[in-house]
Amino acid sequence: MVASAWAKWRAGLIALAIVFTLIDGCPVPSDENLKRWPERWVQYGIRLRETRALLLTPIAGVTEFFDVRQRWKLFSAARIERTWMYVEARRSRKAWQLLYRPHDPQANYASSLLQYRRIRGAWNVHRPDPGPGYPAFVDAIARRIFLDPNLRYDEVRVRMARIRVLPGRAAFEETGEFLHEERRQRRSLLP
Amino acid sequence: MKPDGLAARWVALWDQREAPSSLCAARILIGLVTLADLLWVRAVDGVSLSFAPPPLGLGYAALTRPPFTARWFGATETTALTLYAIALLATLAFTVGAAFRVAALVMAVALSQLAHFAPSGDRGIDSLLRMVVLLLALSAANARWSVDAWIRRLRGLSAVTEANSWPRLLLFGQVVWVYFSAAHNRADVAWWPMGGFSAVAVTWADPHYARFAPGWPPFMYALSQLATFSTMLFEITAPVLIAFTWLHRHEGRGGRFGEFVRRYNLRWVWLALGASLHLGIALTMRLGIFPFGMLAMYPLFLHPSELDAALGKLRARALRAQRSV
Repeated sequence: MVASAWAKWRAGLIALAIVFTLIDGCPVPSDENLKRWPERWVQYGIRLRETRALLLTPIAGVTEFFDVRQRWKLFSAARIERTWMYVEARRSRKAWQLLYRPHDPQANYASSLLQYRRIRGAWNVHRPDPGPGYPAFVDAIARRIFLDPNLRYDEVRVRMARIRVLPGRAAFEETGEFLHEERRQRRSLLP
Repeated sequence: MKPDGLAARWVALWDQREAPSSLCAARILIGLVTLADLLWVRAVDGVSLSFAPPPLGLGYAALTRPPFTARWFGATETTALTLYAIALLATLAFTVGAAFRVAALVMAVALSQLAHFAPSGDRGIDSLLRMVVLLLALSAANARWSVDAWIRRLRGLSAVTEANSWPRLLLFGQVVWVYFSAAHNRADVAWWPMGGFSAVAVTWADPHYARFAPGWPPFMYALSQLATFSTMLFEITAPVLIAFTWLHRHEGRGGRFGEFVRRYNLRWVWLALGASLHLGIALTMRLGIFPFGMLAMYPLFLHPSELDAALGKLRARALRAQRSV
């Protein structure tokens, strides 16, 4: 059977799409990886990243518009140092009340909402830099707490307890340290 | 083989035709998963919190790197809520196959705009689903079990029984690539023998991800190591699924290796391992739509004739059960 001209074009376009997929999916080193590379190899790592970016220029507009990519980092990091979020609030500078902490039946304020995957994406911080979604999350949850007619707080604090996974067990211990503490006052968020 | 012969085979590979059942099943399942996710965020009263710009929600990027909808209509809560409503309606139309191609395009655009509003909430599975929806839009995924097919019948047109197979084959390759890419991007030693295959235990111990309160009995640790090992084996060997599928569908080809693959049903073993890993994730971890979104793509691994045969058996069994009642 003789293939039509369109079939040939289509096969060519598919080949091109596969090539772009493989280039986009090429595991180039991140800044964090490069810090661990030997000095003389770093320049090659940077050049590899630049070459990849250059080769992807023809499709950059489309991938950016639809926000799609071909490097799949599914649970790539499984460090034993992790965090445990505390959402706390208080009134008139009295003691902090723990409102929400994952898996704490005594502190489950808005747990369905806070556990929703898109919202968790903003507060599930395991990196040194919590990213721009984190302060936006603190703003939004503090505002919600201040507007809740059942709660009467004028200050909200969100912070991450540092925890360490115990070797040889699916369990953790708290280190006593806290990271990424952010506070919001009622008067700064509500008119 | 001559280059000309190779090119001709490449063209012929993407020029095949088959029944559209697998694509249609994937459309419905992917649509249902996305729809459930969008309805769930509404049910927990989290639409504004998920997408609106600060201080109402997590849509910080609508202010710092505004996408076209934020530039044209303003980086406001109203724009975010309108985008959400459009995404919801388009997903519904996509799922039921109504004005399918337009619905798929609108769905992909609306979901990507929401991702541009609030990137911290957009996960790998969202990016993958958008890509799959765009590819499905180029296919005959509305040829069956859809409003479009029903309208076609009302207009007296014959049902679409055959369509291009290239979208399914390309999506097959895409899902295989997702697994393989996930394996070679796993730099953390916890996924590898030198890290004691401890990655799943770490996730089970993470209160942010674990479905059950961390603190599993010690004997479960061995199970978590087995789960980590199986995940890595499954993902790193993903490309062999292409060979397994080809050998399974070409009786007598592939010599002794082909015989071995067919005798031990390695294709089905691999698929069953994948399905059980995703079900295990759904059971023990809170990862949102990830396991369900991945499983929704599994019909793409099946040749339409296999899916039709399985559905035929199910239908016959249901009829027998109905008669006996």
